[in-house]
Amino acid sequence: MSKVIIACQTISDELNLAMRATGCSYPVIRMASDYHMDPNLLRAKLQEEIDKLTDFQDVLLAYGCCGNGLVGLKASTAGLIIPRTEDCISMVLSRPGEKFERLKRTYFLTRGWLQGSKSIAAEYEHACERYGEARARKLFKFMLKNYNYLMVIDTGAYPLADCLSKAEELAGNTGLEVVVSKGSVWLLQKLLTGPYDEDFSVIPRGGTVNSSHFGMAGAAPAHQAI
Amino acid sequence: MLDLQALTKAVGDLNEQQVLAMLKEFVATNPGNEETVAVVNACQQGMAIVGELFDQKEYFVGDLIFAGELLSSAIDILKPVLGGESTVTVGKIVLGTVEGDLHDIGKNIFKNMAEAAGFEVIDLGIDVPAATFVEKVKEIKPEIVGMSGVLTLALDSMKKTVDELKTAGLRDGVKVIIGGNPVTEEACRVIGADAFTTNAAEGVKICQGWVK
Repeated sequence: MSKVIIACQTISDELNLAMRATGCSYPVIRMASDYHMDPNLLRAKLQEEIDKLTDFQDVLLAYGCCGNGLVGLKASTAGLIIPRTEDCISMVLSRPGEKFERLKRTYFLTRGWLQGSKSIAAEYEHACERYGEARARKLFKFMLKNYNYLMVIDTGAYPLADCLSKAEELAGNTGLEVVVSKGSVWLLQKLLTGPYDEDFSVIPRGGTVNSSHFGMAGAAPAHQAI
Repeated sequence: MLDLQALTKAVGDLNEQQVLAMLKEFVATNPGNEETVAVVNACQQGMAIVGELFDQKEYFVGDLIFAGELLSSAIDILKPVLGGESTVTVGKIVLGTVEGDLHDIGKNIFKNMAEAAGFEVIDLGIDVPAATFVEKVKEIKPEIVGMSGVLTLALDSMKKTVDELKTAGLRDGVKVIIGGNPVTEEACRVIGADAFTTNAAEGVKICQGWVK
């Protein structure tokens, strides 16, 4: 009955909280955040990790569909259990039993998102170094022209103050308005404990993840249609 | 004659000063159309390098935007000498980021590159409902429909758009290309598109193949 967790570094804080809250002590393989920029690379790296596993019955993937990064994964060495959710934004902002509506014109942040080497903060720093501050502001004005808000998601998994002050600095440089919204780790907790109901796709050993596992071109769970 | 390889490299290096200086010097020689088209191609090859360096994680998203601006400035400089055949539109593309998604950096880069390649691009913007695509395809009668998106949900919107094009009896009259992070061969098949790409330069090449 052994399980192993493979998780994106982006939601490290949230996974840690969920593990503490549930007393879960499964081993965790943490994957770099940057893979989310390239779903093909993410899929390849996850497959590498899954292929290496021995002696586990199930892999709990702390991911969503992640831009199709998980579609095509093969349950080569163990069964795969995956939350039926779009990505880590819907993972921490959705509520049990409610349909998730992604807010428009909003750029989402948590501490984990800010820490990635290709985070928006790292982007801004890179642009300032390469093009100077005035040009960087112009580039960012263009990059973020479809956004009005920078939402810091308070998942309760990290100290908010530091993240908030960074977000405010970034918002000041890019003309966005900071808003804070309460998030939750309920789906991660449920990933650790089960039950593996309609909130999850369970792919038995030997199976392959396809898009219908996330609801695309197939039956989506009523409260998590994507 | 302008050193085309040096120009491609300068675009790839995002060396704005050098690119603009080279192009201004080139335009001052009052070049012929054929030469100018070769220069546009060299710029596009430079953009392809930018795309590769982004894929290799060397460039950031901000660099892609900078590259898009650089290509626009380059084409603006070349416009006065881009005469004759090259001003004839090679085809029309109705383009947009699909409903529910507002990511348009890739779409805008594709647009820049497609225009540089002689396409007339009708850009519907972001969060474009299927019905708007259908309406515009009816009105414009393009050869190509380009749909872009980054979010997972974009794939559903792309499928809905293709389905509505079918319902309106318009699907057979256009080629459909989808672009963006989540598109894969499987997604392309499920959506019912003709081609998919995660690379703007490659996308333009596919479109060029369709209108030959």
